[in-house]
Amino acid sequence: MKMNIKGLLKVVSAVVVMAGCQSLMAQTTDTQKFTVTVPSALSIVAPADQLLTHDATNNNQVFSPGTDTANHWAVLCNSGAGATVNLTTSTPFTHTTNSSYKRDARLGLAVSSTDNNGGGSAIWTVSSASDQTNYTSADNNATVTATSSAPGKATLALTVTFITNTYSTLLQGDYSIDVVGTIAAN
Amino acid sequence: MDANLKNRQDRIRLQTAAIVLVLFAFADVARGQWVEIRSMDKDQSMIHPVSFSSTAFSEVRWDVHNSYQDDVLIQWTMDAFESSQGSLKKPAQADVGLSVRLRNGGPKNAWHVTQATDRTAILKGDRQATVTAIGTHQGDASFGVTVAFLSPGNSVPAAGRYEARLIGTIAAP
Repeated sequence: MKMNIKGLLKVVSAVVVMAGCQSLMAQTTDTQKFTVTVPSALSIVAPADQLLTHDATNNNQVFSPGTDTANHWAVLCNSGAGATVNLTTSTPFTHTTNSSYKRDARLGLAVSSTDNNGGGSAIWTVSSASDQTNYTSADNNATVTATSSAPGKATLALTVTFITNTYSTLLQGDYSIDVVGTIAAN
Repeated sequence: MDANLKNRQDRIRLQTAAIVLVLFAFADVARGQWVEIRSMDKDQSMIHPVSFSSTAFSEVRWDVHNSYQDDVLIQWTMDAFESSQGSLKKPAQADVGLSVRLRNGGPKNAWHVTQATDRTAILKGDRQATVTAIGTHQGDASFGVTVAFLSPGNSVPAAGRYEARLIGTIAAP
């Protein structure tokens, strides 16, 4: 067999390449990367509008949220520092056609469901549970507050009370307030 | 010794070295004995639905080959997801759920899943999930691996981009 040095080098090079191919054929490990993008989320959703008919007594009238969380405020934030939710009315209950007739409004807040941190601690808590207007003292605002310090979602049960005082002095008709919910990342 | 004889001896040495190298490189293949594992799908990515704490990727395919008569062990491991960026000062983490099933094991019933599911538990210090299978005869198989993203405490995950790498290994006896 005739072969010069150059030819032999070609053979050796081919062997090295083939050996490399062989090592690829006998691959004993492989990897695959998985990536999840979690978008920023900050939301608050109010339940449906509420309506009740006064029972014609001096008793306060209560809009109860009930136990169904579908009728509660839904909040969500996935900022690392959590968020703060305010539920506010800027007026007392006011007659819809004669604004000189008013009754105070009381707000009460509770967390009806919340994510937890895995150790059993609730992510969302109430930081201001109750407030009411006092229109005779020019206090037309009432605000309740819930906060979180980590990503998580919750439902908030808001109880709204119509402070009747004396029923006989109520002008007949509709009285209403607007509760405004705001959420802001901490 | 004249120059022609020396050149001839050099050529013989090089030829011998080349033959030894070929035999060494292909010894296992020549005997028909090697193992192989391959991820058959590309890297995976998804947008988290946010309103749900947990979500899963579509199943991915991994193919394996075994030419040995003895048992071979196949193992898939994955560390917990970790965010490379986001709203937290330190990287956020999320648990990994792993499951494996045999999609196609050939006619000899040579392949078996021995550990079908596992998950990490970051809050308990368990940061690696492992699922396993074995091959008891020669043959090829195709496995399906499903990766899930699980938020710690079932809470909404912090915003960010999370990554984790699935590592498949096959070990010959």
